[in-house]
Amino acid sequence: MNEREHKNQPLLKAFLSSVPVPEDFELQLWIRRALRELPSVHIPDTFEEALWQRIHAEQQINSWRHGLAISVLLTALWGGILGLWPASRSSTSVTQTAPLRGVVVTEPLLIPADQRFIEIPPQPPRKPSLQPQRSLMPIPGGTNPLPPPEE
Amino acid sequence: MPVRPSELKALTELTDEDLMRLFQQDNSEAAYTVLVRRYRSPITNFLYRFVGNYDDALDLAQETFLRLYKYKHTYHSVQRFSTWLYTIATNVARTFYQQRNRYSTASLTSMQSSEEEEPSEWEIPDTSYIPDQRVDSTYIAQRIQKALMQLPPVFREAIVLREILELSYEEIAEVMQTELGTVKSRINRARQRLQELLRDVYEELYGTPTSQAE
Repeated sequence: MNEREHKNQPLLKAFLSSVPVPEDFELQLWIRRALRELPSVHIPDTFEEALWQRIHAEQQINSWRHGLAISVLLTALWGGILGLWPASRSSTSVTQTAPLRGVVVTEPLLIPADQRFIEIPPQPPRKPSLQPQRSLMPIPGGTNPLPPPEE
Repeated sequence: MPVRPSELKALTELTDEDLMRLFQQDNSEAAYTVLVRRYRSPITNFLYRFVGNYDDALDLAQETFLRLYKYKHTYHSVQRFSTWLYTIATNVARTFYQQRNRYSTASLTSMQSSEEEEPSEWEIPDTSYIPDQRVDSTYIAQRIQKALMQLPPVFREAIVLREILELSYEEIAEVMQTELGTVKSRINRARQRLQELLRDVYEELYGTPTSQAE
């Protein structure tokens, strides 16, 4: 088996051409090696300390923002309650109780009397109102009124 | 720091996912501290290679861990923790870039460009890079970092995740929230660009590259 393989080798070599190596193979290899051998950046001893300071500062800012948001919300709620309270009261007392609005006193407007409007024309005496038709109808099982007398 | 060392020692054997579960359920600051200690170096490295400035990288690394603390409830145990954390770091870095280039005309939507698309206007290379001696003390390291900064951000992101953090293509696709094919394409194009940008450094060191084909 091994002998056969050995015999086939020159034949394979004749058929398979060798792979061309690019001209800049060495240059490429050198660049890759040089990139991997670049010196590591020195990390200062204060790296972690500075990081924790930043984290704590960030947390403080966040809690401050949180507090501010809550206070704004509470202020808005309180303002809303103050604004809605007068409106919830009766309309007559609004002028007295409305916040930020002074009571405006207006003098009564006097209009000179005009006879045309004062004189009341004579009116015909009012006829007594007719009883509703329904009352003339016989009520079953009740006391029915008598019909009007014929002339 | 409110965490006792004995508390930390008991947790060091736990996996990232177990630590995260502890942190989520019990609000364990010890678990959080162990995670920070485990990932502070790779995250800061990734961010430095991405933004090219040591102070910015440290600041963004802290921002990443701050977001981890703040948004711990958004992590699902089915995810790999490292992938999730690198996604946060990538988003932090992108936001940083977006704010820095806010006067440019492009938008973040171009980040989702397909494989066939050319880098958009958003992906303007950073030409303001100044070598940082505190990290890259050698000439070669400075030149490589400078070349990285000359890549469009999406290419840089992909190549740093692949070559420096050694993430798999699948993990990079998850971190970058894009297709696997797009990731491969970006990495290949990043490598090609780096070859162009670093050829002169290589030739200075080793002479003209030779073919091994023969």
